[in-house]
Amino acid sequence: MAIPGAARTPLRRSYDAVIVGAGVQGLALAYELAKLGVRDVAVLDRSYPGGGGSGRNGEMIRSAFGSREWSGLFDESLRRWRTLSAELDFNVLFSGSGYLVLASTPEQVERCRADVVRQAELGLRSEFVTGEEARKIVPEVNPDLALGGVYQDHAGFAHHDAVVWGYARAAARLGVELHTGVTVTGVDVAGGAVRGVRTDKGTVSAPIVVNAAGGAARRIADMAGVDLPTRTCRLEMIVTESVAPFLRPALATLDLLGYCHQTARGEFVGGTELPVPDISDSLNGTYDLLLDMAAKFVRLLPRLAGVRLLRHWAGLVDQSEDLSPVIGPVPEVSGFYLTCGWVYGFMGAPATGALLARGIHDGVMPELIRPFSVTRLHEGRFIEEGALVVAAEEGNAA
Amino acid sequence: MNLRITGHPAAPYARARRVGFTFEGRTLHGYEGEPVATALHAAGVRVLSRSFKYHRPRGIGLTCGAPSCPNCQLTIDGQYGVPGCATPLRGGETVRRERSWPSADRDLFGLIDRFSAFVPAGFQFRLFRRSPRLAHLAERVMGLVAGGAREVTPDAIARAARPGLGHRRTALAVVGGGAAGLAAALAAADAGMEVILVDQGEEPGGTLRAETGPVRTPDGGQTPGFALVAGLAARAAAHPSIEVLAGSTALGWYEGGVLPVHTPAGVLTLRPERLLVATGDYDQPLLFPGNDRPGVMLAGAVQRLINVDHVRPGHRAVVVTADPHGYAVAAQLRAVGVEIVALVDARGEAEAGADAAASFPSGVAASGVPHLTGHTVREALGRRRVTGLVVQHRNGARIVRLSCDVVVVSAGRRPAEELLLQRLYHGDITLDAGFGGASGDGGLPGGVAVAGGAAGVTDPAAALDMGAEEGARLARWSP
Repeated sequence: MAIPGAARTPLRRSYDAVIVGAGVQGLALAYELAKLGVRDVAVLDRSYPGGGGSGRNGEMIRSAFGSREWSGLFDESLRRWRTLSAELDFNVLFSGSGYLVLASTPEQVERCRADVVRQAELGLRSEFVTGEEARKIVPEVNPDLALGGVYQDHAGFAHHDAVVWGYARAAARLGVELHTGVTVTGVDVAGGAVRGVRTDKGTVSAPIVVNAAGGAARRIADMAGVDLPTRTCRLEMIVTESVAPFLRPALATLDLLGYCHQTARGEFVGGTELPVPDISDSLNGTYDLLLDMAAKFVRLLPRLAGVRLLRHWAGLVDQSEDLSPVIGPVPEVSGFYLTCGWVYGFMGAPATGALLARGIHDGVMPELIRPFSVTRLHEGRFIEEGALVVAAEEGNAA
Repeated sequence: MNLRITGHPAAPYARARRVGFTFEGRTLHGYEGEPVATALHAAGVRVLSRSFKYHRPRGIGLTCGAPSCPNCQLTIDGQYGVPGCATPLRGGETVRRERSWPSADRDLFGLIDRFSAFVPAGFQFRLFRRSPRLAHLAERVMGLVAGGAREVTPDAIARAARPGLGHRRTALAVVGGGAAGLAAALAAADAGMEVILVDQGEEPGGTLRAETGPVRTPDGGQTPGFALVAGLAARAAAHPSIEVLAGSTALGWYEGGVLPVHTPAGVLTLRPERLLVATGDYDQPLLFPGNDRPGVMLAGAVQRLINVDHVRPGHRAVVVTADPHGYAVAAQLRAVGVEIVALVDARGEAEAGADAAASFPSGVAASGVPHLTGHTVREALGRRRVTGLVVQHRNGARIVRLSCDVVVVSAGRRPAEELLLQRLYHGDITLDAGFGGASGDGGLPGGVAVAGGAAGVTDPAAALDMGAEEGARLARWSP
């Protein structure tokens, strides 16, 4: 099968910019760079576009976070999501069906209430819902687990493969070359500046190299002599057979560390996390988590009992200590940029692609992505984001 | 002419009790224990389902018995998505077809196929891309069409809620009870190993259960395939060191060597020290317009229908083949009273003739069947059932239109290697190494082996030998 947007010409020896990783981050960046006139761009991937986390995520999109840094970036992303199909001339099946973060204990309810107040201060559109209101939004939810929550009626989910294909094709139309089956084996740095990359298909010189390598980001950074303090963790998800529509919005639960939605063709898609991160770079699903996910989702949505599973997959995230992404230049290697350390990389891609492209083009990083620089991790200035649904270090939900 | 075969010349059959069941308001009859899909076919029901997107009619005959194709998913007693080819008829059940209105025979949604030029693959990514509101509305309509009326029955919920059967350790798990799997289990058990044999079928035997043709035995003799595996299955059932889990599916092979098995009584979590994958292979379809029409069938499914269920696929068959197996199936069809309209082989006369020799000893021509060598298929005719096949000589000069109600395709096989592929990303196994003919070194970790069709070995006698060798080798292996 032809890969959407893949180059039909061989890999050349030099480009204005090389992006390592044809995931949603790398492709969104390539598209946005080309829109700004930087069209001599090659996107390299050892596998197929979206083969990593971009095709192995929960597809869910929201902006109701708790920190100024996250809410600013993700609200910009949500704004772009809502018009992305027209922008890319490709229906990415964005569904603005709403996004509900569910609270199941009085403490979580209070946390949600405080989050909404904070989000209003940050200029976000979100609302606190009571248990009764939450049950109206998701009538099938187990009432014991629905004591309240945070709701964004204009957030939702999109088709992750379609987003990858849409960006790849749109970038290719503007002249970007997507080369798959190319493994980067080294990053050439001389005199404090990046010179290009070495690959199994030859050396490619470029004054700009962007590390958008997802689960392999740390390895690529190492090649440039850059310390990227992240670690690779495995997340898993399940997909059921088609059933009658019963779940409108995207749904996340703080209690079960779970997130899920139902696609247009009726499949239920969901993932849960164990309290402690699963440090692994394996893409195998595990049987223990399969059982865990099935049990938790039947508890959350009792009508899933007896519904058969179609698929089960694992994907990788490369997460930093504060679980926030790492975006922007690297002080010690000029021309080398990062967009990695992503846990919410799918939902953050439209804004990050546009803003990082602007930053690379202008030489000054835009306000919204500046806080995510790698230096914050080296200097221990962590971003405090409290509204994530992901496994954190000490066995707590962060 | 009745499709039921009486007095089969090669395969014995003890016809079970005749039972009635309700099919979309009508009462039909079949024989207890035969697949529901077979009972429907014998009763003249050709369209068993409609395809997901274009609502094209689909019928019996692809990978029957190993439900990896969606063609015969039926709603039985209210439970949707039940594979009719792997569900025995009990009598008294209510059977409906799915994804069609007002019926699968006259499905109004079938119009989608007539306008397929306007809804090509991926059309949804082009639809309403400039109008988010319309896109959202379209998405909700799609949801109702795709998942509508698919409700789980209380019975299915109760089955899902059964407690698991717990964990079991075993020295060797053999997945697949065909010739290779049975031979492996017996060889290992004879060497003193405790073996659990997992098999999807009602009883072990695999594809050879439907083979009436001769298979070479290890002692140099010959015996019909079904008799050979029946003998092996009986030995395995009686062997004190072999436990056979029939009607059971290995759900996956997970990290840590966990092998959950879905048995009729619930899920049993096996932790085998050694694993032998003998999951067989799939018949491969050929690509031509109309290759999914009801009546276009694959050779293995046809054998199962005539030799196990004793039901003819139809009355007039065209057999399209590129291997000896297709000629064997053609001869078996003739033996149960199906007219062979023509034998079509894309290869030249010499090669095709050589493959035909075993099944047509005095030549195809002498049997009165037209042998169209050097011909390929252009298209299948008919809508709700196949009515003919158009074939063309490779030099383009000659086009032949054949009238038939069955097209049998024998075009090679693909290993059923899903269980091994699941572990590709773990680094245990690499694609480059391949599994074909692997004798423990084809990229497989120690204690894991593959034999028979899953290893690309299609000859039954060779699969049998390989199973015995691999079973004995695993018995000698220690962790």
